Amino acid sequence: MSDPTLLVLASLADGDKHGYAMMEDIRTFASIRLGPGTLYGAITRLEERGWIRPVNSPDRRRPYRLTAAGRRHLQEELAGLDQVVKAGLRRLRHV
Amino acid sequence: MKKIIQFAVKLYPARWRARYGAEFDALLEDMNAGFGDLLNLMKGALLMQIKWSNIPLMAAACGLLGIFLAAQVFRATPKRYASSVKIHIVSYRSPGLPPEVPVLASHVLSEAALTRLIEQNELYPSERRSQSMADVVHRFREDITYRPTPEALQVSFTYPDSQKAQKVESELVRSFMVENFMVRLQEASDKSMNQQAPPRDPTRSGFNLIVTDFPHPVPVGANLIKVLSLGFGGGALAGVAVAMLRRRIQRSAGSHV
Repeated sequence: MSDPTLLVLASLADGDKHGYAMMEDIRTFASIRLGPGTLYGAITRLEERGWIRPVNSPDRRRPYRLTAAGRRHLQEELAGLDQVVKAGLRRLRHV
Repeated sequence: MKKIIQFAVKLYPARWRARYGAEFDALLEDMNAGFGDLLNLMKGALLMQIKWSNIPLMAAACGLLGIFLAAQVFRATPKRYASSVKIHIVSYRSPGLPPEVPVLASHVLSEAALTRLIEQNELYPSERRSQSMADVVHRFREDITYRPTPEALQVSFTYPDSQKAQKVESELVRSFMVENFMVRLQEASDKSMNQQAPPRDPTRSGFNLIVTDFPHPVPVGANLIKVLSLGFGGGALAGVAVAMLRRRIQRSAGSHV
């Protein structure tokens, strides 16, 4: 799972986060360090698709929130990944 | 590094910066960005330029990328040096190229003479390991330019090593002069040995070869400025093409919604 958009969605699944918080969170749960260009490329795409939206904030560090459509998309993607992971593990056990 | 990163952020489209610029700056301040982040940021800027289709900026960014690629190609291309000399022909009798000159050149550029030059100067080491000597001599001939005119012989040799180009060119010129000397010696000998002989063909004598300059190796091949200009032009054109294509795709997608 290295698609930056999926990592950002997964990061926002447990609450609003701004860019740096997402970067640190992803580093912790996926051991992947997203570069600033990659992270904001993903944020731009996700916002265009309506899967995340900015939250009003007086700070320059603007947090983002997962939308209902974004949550549905994340669930579908993770379900698909889960199938792949389960099938892979099952086959490994049979070797 | 901070200033370079601030500059790199300006490579993003203005519209994108107006929307995300403040929070992006805050992120860069928080994360203490390094060189790897700079490259990532530049890649992100290029992708955003493609995505947001700012044609002039896209052309400039791709033009700069083209310059960079052209410089790499130029650096990777092996250099060659040409060493040239003009041997002047002083003809005392008949106009036109003296008939001895082609004979003389055939001696200088004979397979035996060129083989000797290759061995003495250790030319074409990799070719000599993998090819026959006849093939190496053929290659050597391709690198030698011999242009005779009634007034002069233009002889030049092109090789990757400038010093060897100069040395071999000097030896080729020396061979011409030695052959010229031998012809004249033979003529003098014929004259003294055979006083009763009928008069010679006047075109068979009455010329001399004079060298007035010294071979200086000069780099040949692609000119750096031209290569970089070509890189910029090609990159800019590619940038415009990509931006226009992207715009067309966006319009057609918009018309289908």
